[in-house]
Amino acid sequence: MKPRLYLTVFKRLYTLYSRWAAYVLLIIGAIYTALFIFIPETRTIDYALISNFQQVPGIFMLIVGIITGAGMLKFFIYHGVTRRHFFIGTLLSSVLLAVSWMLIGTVLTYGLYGLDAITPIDASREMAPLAGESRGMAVTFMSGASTTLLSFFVGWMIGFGFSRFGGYAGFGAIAAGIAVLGIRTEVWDSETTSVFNLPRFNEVFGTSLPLAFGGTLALIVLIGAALFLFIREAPVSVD
Amino acid sequence: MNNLVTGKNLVLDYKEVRALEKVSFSMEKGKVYGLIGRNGAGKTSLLSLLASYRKADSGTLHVMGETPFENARRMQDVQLVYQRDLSDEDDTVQAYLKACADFRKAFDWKYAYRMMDDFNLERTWKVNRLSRGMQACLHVIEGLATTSGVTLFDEIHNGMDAPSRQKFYEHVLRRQEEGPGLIVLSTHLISEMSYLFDHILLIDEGRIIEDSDIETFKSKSVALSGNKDAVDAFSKDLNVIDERSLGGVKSVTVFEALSEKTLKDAKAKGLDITDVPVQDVFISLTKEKDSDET
Repeated sequence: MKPRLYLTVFKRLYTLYSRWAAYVLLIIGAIYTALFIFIPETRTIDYALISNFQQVPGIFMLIVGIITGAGMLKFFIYHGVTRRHFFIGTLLSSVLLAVSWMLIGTVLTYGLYGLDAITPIDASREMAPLAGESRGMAVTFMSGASTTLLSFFVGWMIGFGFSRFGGYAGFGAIAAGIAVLGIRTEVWDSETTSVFNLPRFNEVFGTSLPLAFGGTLALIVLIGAALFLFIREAPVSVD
Repeated sequence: MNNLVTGKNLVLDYKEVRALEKVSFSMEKGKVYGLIGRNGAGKTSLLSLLASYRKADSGTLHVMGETPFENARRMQDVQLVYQRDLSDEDDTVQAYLKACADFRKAFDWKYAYRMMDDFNLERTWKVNRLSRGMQACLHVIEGLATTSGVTLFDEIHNGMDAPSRQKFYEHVLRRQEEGPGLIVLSTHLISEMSYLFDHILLIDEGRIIEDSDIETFKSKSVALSGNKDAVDAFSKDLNVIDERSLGGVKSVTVFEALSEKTLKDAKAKGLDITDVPVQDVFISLTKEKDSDET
């Protein structure tokens, strides 16, 4: 008996997604290096690596979440893994992946700080959003990891919605996902614009880090609980 | 107790369509089962229940005495092997099997290598570059190298050439002799594979219409031929599942256990008695009802 199948699931998914993440980073690195070398105009804060790097983990985790929801359950059932173990293993791998992205960001940040003296990049300015000039490193790390993890869960919800319930439910999951990501933006970003002239979240509740962090975790738990309820008896087709 | 699997009154619905209607059966260890039926009869649905791909809407299913659905131990004891699309699988054959071994408790690498040699499958080949037939061979290796309690093959031989199929059959027999579990072969290639079966489960329109060991099945299947009137008179109270006439000669296929006395009577009346291939019996038992009326 394999003692802990969820660890096997975790290892498999984390290894696979880390490999994909490495490809993504290599491609982005190559693009920025090429831009940096051949187009001097791109050596500004608007085009700098770290400024735009913040978008990458969220998008990557959203896509990986969709892939997980759409097809991974079938793979693990094929190998005799229970739905419960699949869920726990996927949860663990997504948490570690979100933390890994933040670690990569941190390493890049301080790596570029170190290169500040020998490159034309104004690293101290460009690092600000990630290193957390206003919030502090630890808080930036936690907020980044939690919002990145939320992206994964939104993707998982969309992928699973389509694969389990078909088109209408899938589009419903997309709508719900957009709403969740909208709430995430609203609680974290004080620069959001009002929709339909409704009062903005921050105008009503004020900017509050505990509220933003707690709200993000609550959304993760809510989506996770809903996914677990649907996955635990989900049928899988043989095709 | 030899029963590894028992199902009682299993019902499975796909929305408005009933795939399985009160299916009951049992399977003993050490046997090879032939699960035969037409397309859409419910073979894959039944295998889906055994491998916990789905949960029955009603009825009870036990594998080694326990309900398998979401049971970590029992799900490890059942392996359903079918032709999965491996076009996205960029691993080598070795890495692909390593992934299988990571999940299954008893993966026999020695036997896997032996089968790789038999199927001329190189360990370093990329899985997504294998032909459909070679991918089928890889699935066979995956299924037979994993010494699960219950191994289910769903039309796994599609795409395999005749020599590879023959090797597959030889390995099935070898595994049956060596292993403590049972093997279920869901197939359309009945004429070619019937010699492998110890037991037949014939499923039609979601119901098991025949559940018997192969010797009983064969002994129940006889063809009586001779003068049309003599054949009609003799078979009028028998379970005739097929009949053919040519001029004054008629042949009927009977599917019921005939006593020695009945067979002697038939011979005495000038009727020829011959065996009927399993495939012909299957066709007769599952032919559409409207074709009976025409």
